[in-house]
Amino acid sequence: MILQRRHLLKGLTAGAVTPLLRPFLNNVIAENNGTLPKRFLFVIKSSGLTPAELVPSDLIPSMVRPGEREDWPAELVPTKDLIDLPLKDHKLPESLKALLPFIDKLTILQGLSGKMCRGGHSAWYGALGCYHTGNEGNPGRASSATIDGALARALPSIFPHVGLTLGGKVLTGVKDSVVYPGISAIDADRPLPYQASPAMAYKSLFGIAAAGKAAEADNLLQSILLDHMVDDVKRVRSRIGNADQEKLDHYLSAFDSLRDRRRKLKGLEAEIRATAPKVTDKFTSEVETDRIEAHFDIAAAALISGISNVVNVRVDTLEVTYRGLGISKHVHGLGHSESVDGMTPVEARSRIRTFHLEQIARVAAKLKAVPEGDGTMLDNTLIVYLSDAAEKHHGSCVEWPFVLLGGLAPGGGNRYIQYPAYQQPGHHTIANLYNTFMHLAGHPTDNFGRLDNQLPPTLQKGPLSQLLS
Amino acid sequence: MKSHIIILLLCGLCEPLVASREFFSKNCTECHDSETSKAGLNLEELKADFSVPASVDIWQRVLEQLETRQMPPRKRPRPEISTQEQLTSWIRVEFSKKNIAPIIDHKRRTPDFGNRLDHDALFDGSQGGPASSPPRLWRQSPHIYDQFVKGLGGVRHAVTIHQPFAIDESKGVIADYSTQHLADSATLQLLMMNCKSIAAYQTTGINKREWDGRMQIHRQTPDVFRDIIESKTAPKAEQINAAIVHEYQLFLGREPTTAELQNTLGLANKAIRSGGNVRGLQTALVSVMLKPEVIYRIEIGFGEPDKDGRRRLSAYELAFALGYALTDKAPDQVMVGSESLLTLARSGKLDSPKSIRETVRAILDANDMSVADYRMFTEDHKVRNTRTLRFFRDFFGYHHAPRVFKDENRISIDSGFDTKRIVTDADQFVMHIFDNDTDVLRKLLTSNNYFVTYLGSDKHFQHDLKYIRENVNDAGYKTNITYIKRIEAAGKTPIPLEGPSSRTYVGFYNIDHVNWDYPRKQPFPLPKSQRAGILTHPAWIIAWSGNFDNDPIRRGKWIREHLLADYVPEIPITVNAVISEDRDHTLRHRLKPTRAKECWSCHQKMNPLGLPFESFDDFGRFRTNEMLDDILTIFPKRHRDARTVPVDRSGDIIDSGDKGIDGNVSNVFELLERLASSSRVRQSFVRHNFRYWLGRNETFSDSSTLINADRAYTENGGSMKALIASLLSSDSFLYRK
Repeated sequence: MILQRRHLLKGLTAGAVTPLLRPFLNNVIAENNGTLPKRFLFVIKSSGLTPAELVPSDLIPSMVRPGEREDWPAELVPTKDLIDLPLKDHKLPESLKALLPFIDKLTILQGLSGKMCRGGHSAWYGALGCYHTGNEGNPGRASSATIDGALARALPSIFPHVGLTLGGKVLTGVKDSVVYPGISAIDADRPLPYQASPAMAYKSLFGIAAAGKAAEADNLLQSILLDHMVDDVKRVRSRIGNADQEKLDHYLSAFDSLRDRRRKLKGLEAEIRATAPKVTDKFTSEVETDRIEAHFDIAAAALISGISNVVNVRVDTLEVTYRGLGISKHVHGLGHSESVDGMTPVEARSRIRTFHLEQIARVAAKLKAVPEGDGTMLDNTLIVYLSDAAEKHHGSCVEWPFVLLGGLAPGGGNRYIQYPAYQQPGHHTIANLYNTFMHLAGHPTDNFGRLDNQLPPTLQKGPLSQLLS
Repeated sequence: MKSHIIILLLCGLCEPLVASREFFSKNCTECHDSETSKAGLNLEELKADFSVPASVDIWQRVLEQLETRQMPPRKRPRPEISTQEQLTSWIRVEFSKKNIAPIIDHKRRTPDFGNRLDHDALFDGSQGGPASSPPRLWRQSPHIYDQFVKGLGGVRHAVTIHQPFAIDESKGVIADYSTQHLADSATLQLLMMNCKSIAAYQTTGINKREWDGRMQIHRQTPDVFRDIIESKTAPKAEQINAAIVHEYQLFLGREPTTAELQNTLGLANKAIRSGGNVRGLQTALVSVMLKPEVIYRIEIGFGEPDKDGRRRLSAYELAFALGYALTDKAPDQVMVGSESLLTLARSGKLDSPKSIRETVRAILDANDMSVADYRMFTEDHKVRNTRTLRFFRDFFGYHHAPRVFKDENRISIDSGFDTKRIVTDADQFVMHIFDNDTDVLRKLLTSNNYFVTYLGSDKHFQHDLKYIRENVNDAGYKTNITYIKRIEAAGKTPIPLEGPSSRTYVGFYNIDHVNWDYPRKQPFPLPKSQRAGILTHPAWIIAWSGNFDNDPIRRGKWIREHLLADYVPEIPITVNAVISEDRDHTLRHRLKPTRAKECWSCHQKMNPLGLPFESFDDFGRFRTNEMLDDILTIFPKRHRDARTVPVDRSGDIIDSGDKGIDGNVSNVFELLERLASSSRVRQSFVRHNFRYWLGRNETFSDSSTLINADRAYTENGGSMKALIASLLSSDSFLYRK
């Protein structure tokens, strides 16, 4: 696959592309202008990402102070000035060690706030959408697109948004079906689904690549069926008037999008087959860490094959117990500092974070192995690691740390950035970061979601200049 | 006041604030002015500028408070409903001009919003009807889908059938609301995979390697399909039509209309030309399986409109609505006497509410589980359905017990900590009360007649005991025999469970597994001083406990929301809710920080209701002393040296909405007894029933439906069956508008 792609891309620059491969490349290489594709992988954990634990270990004495209470996590010392340091001059925190080989493309981003969101166990759609919604148990209304949804629209692909998860809503446990975690939406009132079963995710993303004559006939019949169903649903819709129109519209657009997808996939079967992840026992395993690994395999393959440009891995929920890491307490309990066998809750949380970042490193290594343009796929990708509960188990959203990996942001890489604390001059919010993502995707926006009324509107507008240059 | 608003509505922009200002100054600003700003709300400065997000946020709050009748508070004089409605409709008009979606419309559709509607207003007869539900599409439940797939025969043994309609279930929440679930592309993908498997199973069959290595074809091919797939030539139109009709009957319980037949025939012909007889037929079959009617229960109201513009469900719609309310089966498979529910509806026998009530009763009675094998509840039960059981599970949440992680070190290896068995015991407890159908709620909350390891009948008991006696292959055979002989020698009955560790689970009921005389006839009374109703059942106690401790806060919250129809505001996000793990003190003591003024206004709604349950440990065992220090095991004999203090069992019912039950309680039994005697609690139960059986939150226009259901319950001696029959024959259920 790697070789093949290298040939393909070299061929493209030389202007010699075989007609057969054109549609696939059209998808990989943005049409007309020959620019390289852009990809985003969001990795969202539950229970908060503790800012103090992302500080380079040699800087801890000066930048971190103990938690308010003895058993609470340590905190960042608030800063009035922008801190901007080259990571290479410092010692990466233990849990980020797996990212060391990619330090040139690694940015630790601290000090943003997201007080327009609800916080608590989850900011729900707000975490990626910048608005207040939901309550303890339910996501509430998606009042506009979340950043992954907006990017999915800005960077169209055969599967515009691939959602992979362990569980559904934040307070529920591991599932084996299609679920709605309530964190992603493609538009107002249009939540995005996530697949909780790696095996099913594999089937729906890569299953189409079945080979042979029978598969060809199947595809033809499938098109006939989909055409028929679109008409059939439309007929029913006209018969039932305005009642629950939205539900039939969803169903109708499901057929439409399947139809559309089949059209686009035509001729790409061999490519996809070559990129599809190897199905292992992990895909059907009951062990949480196995499932997470399988999801990351799928995420990498979806990006590398070009069938999607935006993938979101909802890496755990509060009911998940990381038995595969030897942790006997679920994430919720750890978040409440409950005791756990053989380690402190802080150590357990650190072990989980390390595992997540190892998975991210695995994806990064795969992307880096695929040449693209003058560099590799990793150069055109941004992996975004965050928690939907912001900075702690019951997030207050006054701080919202991110780990960014990949070369998509020209200003990113080898940087530790910490913005001035909340309400200080020079402070920024997650809306600025998401504006940055839209800029990177070639669809610049200056406003994302709702404003935080406690902050001057001007500083919430536009992208983060540090990441753009 | 009224005239102001009318003028305002007429002339739109002229002085829009006058009306609201006047309304606010009369009803609101005593608390919500610049000085007091209760709940951070200052209405004096609120502008009618709907382009400023901050003021829109406040208008959203105002709209919500007024439409739920939460404000002005009940103790204050209330404005006329019509005045209030004029203001709210003005807000709505202004919202729509700016394309702002009222947040309350979204919230109203979610289960956790149910209790926001003022309880007294729902039951005091002040609210007008006529009642109806909105025309709606209700996505099939996972249970209906399971049941349907089972009905297809052996397909699920040959190939994996995926569940396309999973519901994200939260503890103690009635989750299957018609508004909450839809089928989109992700659902469709799963459905398509299933449909293809089913079409293959109905035609060529599915090849599967059996456990012994043989390949075997699994299939169930109707003759009308066989004619087509075995033919060497293209099938005739009649043959295809017959196949289509067959599939319509199977999946939709009806014949296709002429137009549908024609369309599907067109598809089949096209597909057969492209892919041959077999594949072409399969494609046509899949198209029937994917029809919106198969995915959604369609409840539009195809009947004639009445004078209020409401349309009654057609006979066909009604049959499905009732069938799926009471069972997981389509109405052609639900037999009422010698006729199916569908036939009954079509022959006009369900035209009156009275006949519907009788039919509902007949179905519920035929469902009598007191004669059924209780062990079959959660498996492929022979009894007709478990819809009622699922209500109890959703409502009480006790079936979540196995999902609460408990440290194995605390249980030790021979404990047989078997929460699944405890859940079955609890299922039997609630269903027995339901079957007897008298004073249901009171018994649910107070009965000490429990089931413990009941096998459903004496026949099953004898069968299982015989099996244990003869099962020489069991590793614990000798121990089992020794146990049985010892117990029988003492003139007692042994527990019909294999293995000493399984038997120890009865310890969670404070029963001594070593010497217990197992009651062959159940239910049997446990000591009144130890158990009263489902809330003292180990299953409920464990389900609402933490990993190491009881959870008085969530137990209290459950009572507040489920029995008192009240709600507790969310925990402020700035609060880091951590209970101290300093086990030098009791849990009650460790919860002291919640007594701080800023916490207590909410915690007083929960803690005093949950703390009396400290009479049980977090495994549901009754106790009089609470152990301090590190807890390593739940078995007291290993804790000879543990430090204990007597349990403080007291609690309080504060501001319940029923003055008759407010006040201190000395223990959990007094608490439950008092709750069971309250009309508010009964009405709260009715409200939750409404939500379950109708799949949505109640509105003020459902007030008469709720009052009638409550009356049906009380007038029939506390009959839950009468309550359900009343709900399912109500205008809210039958009409759409």
